[in-house]
Amino acid sequence: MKFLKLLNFELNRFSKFYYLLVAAIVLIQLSLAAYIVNDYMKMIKASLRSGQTMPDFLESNGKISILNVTETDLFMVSVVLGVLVLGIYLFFIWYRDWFGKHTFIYRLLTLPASRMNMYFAKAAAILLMIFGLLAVQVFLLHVIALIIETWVPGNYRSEINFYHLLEASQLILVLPHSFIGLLCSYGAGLVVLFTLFTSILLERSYRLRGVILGGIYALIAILVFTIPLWYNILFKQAVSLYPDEERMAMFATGLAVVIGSILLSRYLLKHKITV
Amino acid sequence: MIEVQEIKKKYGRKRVLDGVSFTAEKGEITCLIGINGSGKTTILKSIMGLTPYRGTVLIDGKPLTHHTYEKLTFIPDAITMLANMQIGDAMDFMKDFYQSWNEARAEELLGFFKLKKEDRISDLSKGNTAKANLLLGLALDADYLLMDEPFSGIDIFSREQIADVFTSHLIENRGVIITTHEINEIEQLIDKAVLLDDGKVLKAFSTEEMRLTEGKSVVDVMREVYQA
Repeated sequence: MKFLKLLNFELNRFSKFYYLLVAAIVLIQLSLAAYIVNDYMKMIKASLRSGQTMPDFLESNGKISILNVTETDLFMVSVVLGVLVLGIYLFFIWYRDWFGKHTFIYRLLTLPASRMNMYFAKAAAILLMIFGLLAVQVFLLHVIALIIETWVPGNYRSEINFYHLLEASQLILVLPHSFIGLLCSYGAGLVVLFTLFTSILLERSYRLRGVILGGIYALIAILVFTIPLWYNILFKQAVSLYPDEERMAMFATGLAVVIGSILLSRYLLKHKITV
Repeated sequence: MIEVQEIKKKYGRKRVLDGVSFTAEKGEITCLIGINGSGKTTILKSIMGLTPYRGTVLIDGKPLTHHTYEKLTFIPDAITMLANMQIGDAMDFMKDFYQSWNEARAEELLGFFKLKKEDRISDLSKGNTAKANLLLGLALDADYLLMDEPFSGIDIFSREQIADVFTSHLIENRGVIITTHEINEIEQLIDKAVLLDDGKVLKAFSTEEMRLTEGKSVVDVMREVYQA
């Protein structure tokens, strides 16, 4: 119950900034789609006015698809913006409680509830925000497809289904097109999240020494998580892992890193944290 | 009873607490006295589990757990709520998380300190910030209150108002540990004094006993100890 209250509290604290971020992404992507579609329509009209036939136009300009929007630099900038802001938030969610005139960390650490509630509330807040952005992104892709469908005549556009769109574009990095892909991408994300949380808590516990300890911990975590990759590189002449085996092994090493990070964080929050 | 036994603490190579021991009873005001840097705040943080240390701290005979925070509250010299909150929001937050939150007492304290629920924490003066901080701590039905420099840097009227708390029913039957380097405001109110210097207890005594047996006030003893 206290976990849910803390989660709600964490989400509310960042909500204004988060809504601004979502609004910025929506604005960038929809304006970009409208601009590209409008530009394309102008080209069609200009070609028709100059007496060019449709096949001639399509031969020189090609059909428009959602890829014309998603493969632009500005579109990727909007995706990176979301990743970047939430990446910074991952640090900010801890440090804002320590610094400033009003040190809220005093209150958080002396709540009559396990300190792990606070830890998991912060982690869950970040995960919910990431999944929220993904949902917005999926919705926006459908809206962009609808914009193209509404404005551009059928003969001038090529339909791309969602699966192929993800497969053909750089969006596959944030929106994997298979369940296994999703598990791999977001499993790796979880490993990074909990490793960074532990590194931050090491810094908050041991301060200057903690920066070094945090760096070493992050390095060890990455090494452990990527053991299956190293194994394949080092022993490829002998017995290398099949892709499925490699994924399973990485799932196991990732799980080990996440559990290790949570246990170490628990110890730090209980015995070593310093305000 | 809060028992502090042989607490040791280092920040880097600097030893800030060097075997500090004392007890604080329920129904008594124990004052930790010492100049800045003598380790007063570190002792309170150690009792609250906000910094690691060596030694033992027992609250009613048991080590600190998160359940203890229902009966042990810390009132630091900076407010522990978010700056953009209103006092009413801060009260709601406390009500949400603490079973020992006493809404009637919180309302009484609002009137006592002449604060309003709509007051935004970031807009409060230093004196009102200290009062809001006290409100959030005192409105808990906690057995022990740990106050860090409640009179530090605030105007004379706010000091008087805060000093009034110590003679009111608001802290009746509670154990209070207060740190200060300005003893004047509360000299007559404290039951036990612990004089600290350089992370060590120089002298710990019952003020009443000292007055009766040696005819000395806290300030007299401070002069003797610190000048020696």
